[in-house]
Amino acid sequence: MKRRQRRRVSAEPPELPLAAMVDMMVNVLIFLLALYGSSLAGFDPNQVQLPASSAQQTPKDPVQLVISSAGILVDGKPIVPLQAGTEPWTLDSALVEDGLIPSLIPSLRPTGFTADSPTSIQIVCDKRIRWEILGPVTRTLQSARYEKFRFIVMGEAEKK
Amino acid sequence: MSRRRRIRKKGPNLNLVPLLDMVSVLIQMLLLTAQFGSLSEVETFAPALNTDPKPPPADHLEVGLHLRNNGMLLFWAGPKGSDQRQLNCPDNTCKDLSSYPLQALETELSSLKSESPDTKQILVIPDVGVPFEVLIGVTDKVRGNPLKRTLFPEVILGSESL
Repeated sequence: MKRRQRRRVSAEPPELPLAAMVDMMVNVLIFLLALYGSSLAGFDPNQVQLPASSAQQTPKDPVQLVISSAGILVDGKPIVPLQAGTEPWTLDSALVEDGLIPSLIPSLRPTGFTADSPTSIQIVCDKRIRWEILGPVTRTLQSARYEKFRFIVMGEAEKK
Repeated sequence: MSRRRRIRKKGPNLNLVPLLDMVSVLIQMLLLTAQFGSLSEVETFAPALNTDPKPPPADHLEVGLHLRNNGMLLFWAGPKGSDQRQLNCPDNTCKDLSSYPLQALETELSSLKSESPDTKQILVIPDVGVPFEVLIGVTDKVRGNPLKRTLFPEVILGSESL
């Protein structure tokens, strides 16, 4: 009887010490969730190539305006398409009037301009976009009473 | 008999395998979507009419930079008169940001800043073919290094007349 019992006990599979692994994974999860929470909402970093800059100011607000190969997006919605094809991308000249892009204004100021309206705007722009596109966008923003343009860039370590 | 009791005293085993599965999947998803490079922002301003009734200080300098596809034209006007410097890329073709003579630009801007330390604004006028990467690279030089020496931190983006 004693022999049988001994055999049964030894036949049980060895228990893996999972507690340490769970601890580590929970820590990694918390770190990644914090990183995810601190990243900017409103644009997909895989779709836009950001230029590098030594600027140190940290962006906080959600991105409103994105200019990439997918077109000009306001709050994530595509408003103005860019002409398809290889680089450099261009803007359809029919969409530009007197150096402005009129179709962009209703999306930028959907409820019009009031005294409380913000006068600065955060912009994500692909580094390959040329002034041919960015120029009319900035002029349109100015006509919609935006005075400060805050461009999102990839921070780089200060070169010596 | 005593052995049986010992076995019963063991607590119930928690099945951690589903939890580990779920956490592994979450970690993979977060690793795929995470962006590890730190983001910063560069402030620029739209051109505006000067409504300040006060006259500018005696050493005030108006500085502008025309960013072209073949180089840069730095121009300024101040108490000592107006002047300009042409800073061209090698062979008059600027392939990318590294082709632009940024070091020469920094030297010129440093000497201008020494003439008028209170001037903060500079007007940057890019040509239509200038990519955003070049604009940001030049803006970095124009603003200077806040840790070493600030040059012209208020960059105003202008356009050529339409």
